[in-house]
Amino acid sequence: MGDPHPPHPSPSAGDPRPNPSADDPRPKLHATDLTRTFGRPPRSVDALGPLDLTVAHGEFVCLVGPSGCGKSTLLRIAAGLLRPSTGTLEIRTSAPRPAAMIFQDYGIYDWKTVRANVRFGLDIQRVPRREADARADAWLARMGLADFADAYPATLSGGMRQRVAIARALAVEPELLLMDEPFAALDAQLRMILQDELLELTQTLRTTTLFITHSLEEAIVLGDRVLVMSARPGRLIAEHRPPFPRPRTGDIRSTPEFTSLKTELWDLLRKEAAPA
Amino acid sequence: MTTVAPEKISVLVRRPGPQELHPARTHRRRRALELSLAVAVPLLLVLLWQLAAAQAWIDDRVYPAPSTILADGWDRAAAGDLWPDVWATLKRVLAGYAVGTAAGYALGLLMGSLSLVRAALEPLLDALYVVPKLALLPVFLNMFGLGEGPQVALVAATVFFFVWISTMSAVLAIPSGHRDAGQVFGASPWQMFRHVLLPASLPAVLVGARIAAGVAVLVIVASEQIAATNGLGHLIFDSRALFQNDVMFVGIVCVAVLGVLFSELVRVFGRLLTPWAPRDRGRGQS
Amino acid sequence: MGSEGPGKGTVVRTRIYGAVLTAVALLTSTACAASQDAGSPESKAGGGGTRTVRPVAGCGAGSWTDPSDLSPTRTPARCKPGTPAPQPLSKPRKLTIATGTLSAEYVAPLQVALDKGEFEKEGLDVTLKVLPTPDSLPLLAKGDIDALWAAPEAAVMNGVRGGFDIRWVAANFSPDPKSKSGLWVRLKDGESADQVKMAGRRMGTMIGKGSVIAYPMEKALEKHGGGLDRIQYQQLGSADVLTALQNGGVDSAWLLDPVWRRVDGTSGYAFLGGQPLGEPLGGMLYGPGLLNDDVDAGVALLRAYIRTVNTYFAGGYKADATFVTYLAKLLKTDEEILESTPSLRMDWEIRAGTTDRLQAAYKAQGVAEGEALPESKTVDRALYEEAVGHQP
Repeated sequence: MGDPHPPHPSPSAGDPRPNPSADDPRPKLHATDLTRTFGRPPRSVDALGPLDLTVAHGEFVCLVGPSGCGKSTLLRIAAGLLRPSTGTLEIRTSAPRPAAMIFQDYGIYDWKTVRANVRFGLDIQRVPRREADARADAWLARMGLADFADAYPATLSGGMRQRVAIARALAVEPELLLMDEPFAALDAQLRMILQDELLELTQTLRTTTLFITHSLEEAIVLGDRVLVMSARPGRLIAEHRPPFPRPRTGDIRSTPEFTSLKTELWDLLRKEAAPA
Repeated sequence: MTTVAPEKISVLVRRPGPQELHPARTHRRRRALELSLAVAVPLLLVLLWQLAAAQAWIDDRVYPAPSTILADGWDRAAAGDLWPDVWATLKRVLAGYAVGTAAGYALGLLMGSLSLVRAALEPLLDALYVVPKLALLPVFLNMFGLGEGPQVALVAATVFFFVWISTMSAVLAIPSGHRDAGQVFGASPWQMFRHVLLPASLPAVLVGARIAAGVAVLVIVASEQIAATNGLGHLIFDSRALFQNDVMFVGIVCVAVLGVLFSELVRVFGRLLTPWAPRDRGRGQS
Repeated sequence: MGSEGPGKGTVVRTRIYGAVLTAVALLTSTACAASQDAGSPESKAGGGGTRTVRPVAGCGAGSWTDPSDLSPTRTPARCKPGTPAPQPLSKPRKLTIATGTLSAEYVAPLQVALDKGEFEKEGLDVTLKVLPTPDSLPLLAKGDIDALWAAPEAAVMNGVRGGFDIRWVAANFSPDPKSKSGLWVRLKDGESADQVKMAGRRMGTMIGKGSVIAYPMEKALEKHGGGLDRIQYQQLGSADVLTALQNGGVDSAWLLDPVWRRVDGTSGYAFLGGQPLGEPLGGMLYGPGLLNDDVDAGVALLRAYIRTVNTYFAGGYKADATFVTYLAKLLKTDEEILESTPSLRMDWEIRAGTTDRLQAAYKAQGVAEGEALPESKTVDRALYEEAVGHQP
């Protein structure tokens, strides 16, 4: 590439940077005037927007908002599953399919073994089987799933299944990671455990991530930035940066800054979430 | 002053039962009980039938005793008279089933995945679905002449609709989340089919295939009555016309056994194809 | 341990096991030990043995012929018209007679009897029901219907062998010598009517296996080097049989009245023989009701039938144009069709050995199993003999 590294302060100094383009000041994801409407008039529903969004390389952005505010719609547009009604969403990438998505339900396939599930993205990309298996097994080991490699997902608990979904998404080394309330179906304790695991993982990988959640706590723990959306049609109404340097751990949950940020965000959100 | 009689207080105890104290033994006995019931109940009914015939509660000239049926069937089988009919029926059922299943599966997949094809063909197929296939037998006789053609065509037509409908609805019922995952990873239509649509729809398709197996045997018996010169269906109705009740019952029992075996075969085959699916028989799970 | 120990459950279970085992043991022993009744057809219908037969006015020497007389030119038995006179039952009763069709000419005597009130004169309220033999035979055997106007086909023989009380008690007709209903063939090169090789031919017929036609078929085939086991038998619908013969689908066919008319006289086709002259092959079948329980009604029914034959079908009944018109309306058929074939020779008597010859043909066809039944188990002449006052 040959571009000189621009002298701008990186958000978290001292991090390992495997991705050379991570210093690119141009945003990884840029949405302009994005809206999405469903249905035809007179019964059409304005689900999203107008919304502007910029996500930098390696940034972990959390989106919180009340139910039905269009968070999932935004994610699906980013994933390529939906087209916007107006506006554009640009992703700066060299791969044709840069995104990997983790869903809340129906993510992984019951008819494939755990290993085959994790290998799925690689199979689609026609990676040779040997190499794909090796990469999949590496991820299984990393997520603590090595013992279940040949089991079928129906025999796993919900937490294990979401670990498989995360492994599957990360096995293809995506440039953009999209996560749609991945821990919503899990109980509170498991949720915290997986949040900590994800925190550690993403701090190592520095993948650009867009993360949707209802939980303010989760957003503050995981995110470089927390964006608050209004009720339908969703627009960005606030942006906060959790004042915790990287690398973080789950201990930040007990700090006073955490609590005060959480209260501030909740005050914002409560107005949006309350029925009109 | 009112006096209240003192209430009798007793202590309720929750204690371990046999299942908790001797889990292995209880499980073994439970399995033994289930197994013996599965064998004993049909056996009991057959013995009851035998008794009824022997005690003349039923007219054994019209409803022969099981022993008579067994003896007659055994004699026929030993003399080699039974096998040609069984084989003739089996050939027709298998051929018709193969054709019907292949066509039904292909069309079901096509119509389930491509909405344009579905829009084009669904009204037509829905209308044909309710036409009794036996009513089409004269049409098949005209098309294929005498011989195996109309029989196989009839079985194939019947099986087709069962398999087509369960395949199409199975594919349509695949949760969109499954497709989304494949789409985000960039799966081509063939990859989507191979990794997602085919395996996701397979369990429901196999249920339809199993039902179709039983129906295929049903249909072939009826069609052999009209348009065949051999086969179990022909045997049943021929012996009825000749007022040979015991032979008729031998035919009926043979058809029943054939139907059960065929249906079970399809079930076992289905289990091999779908190792991830939950078992539909409680026995395998207990 | 408390009062309710784990033993209670085991006790209950043992009791259930014990009960089930006892029931199974009882059933098995009773079922196996119970005497298997051989199902031999008990000939309870002994008819003439216990009944008094009185002479009947109008029915003289010509009213009964020796069954062993098999001459093809034998004159059928007849009484004076209007005889035997009705002898009304002390208590009138209802009767159901089942038959395969109501529009064939051989059903005419029953239809005329009904229309002219002959049954009513005997105190019988008769209903004619149309049912194919596979359906009506079990009903007759169980006693749900009283009589069958059909034929002693293989199914009937099998029923008698199976232990049911069924007898052939009166005949229907034998063909006119001029009739050519029967085996027709397409002549192949070098063949003439006397020299036809039947072996290996395909024969089309609407008659199913086990029909009485098997017997005349076997006779006609054997005369020409065939046999029911040497030809290919193809059952077709009645409309298709003639078509198949004409367009070569089959090279021989059993043609019935009046279909044979269409190929009669056409070159290239030959008639090889039909139903044997002087030997009726069908008629009235009785079940246990009229054979055992109410023989009076059984005789009365035959009396009405015989009287109808003597009154309306004594000779060449088609010579009378008015009668033909009447018949055509009754049978719901065309006068031309009736006039195109000769009058049937109505004949209520059963020849000796007919059922033996029938059973031999069934065996050759492969539709009868086991030993042939003796005539005592299949035929009962006593009822028609009583109706005409013949002393055995």
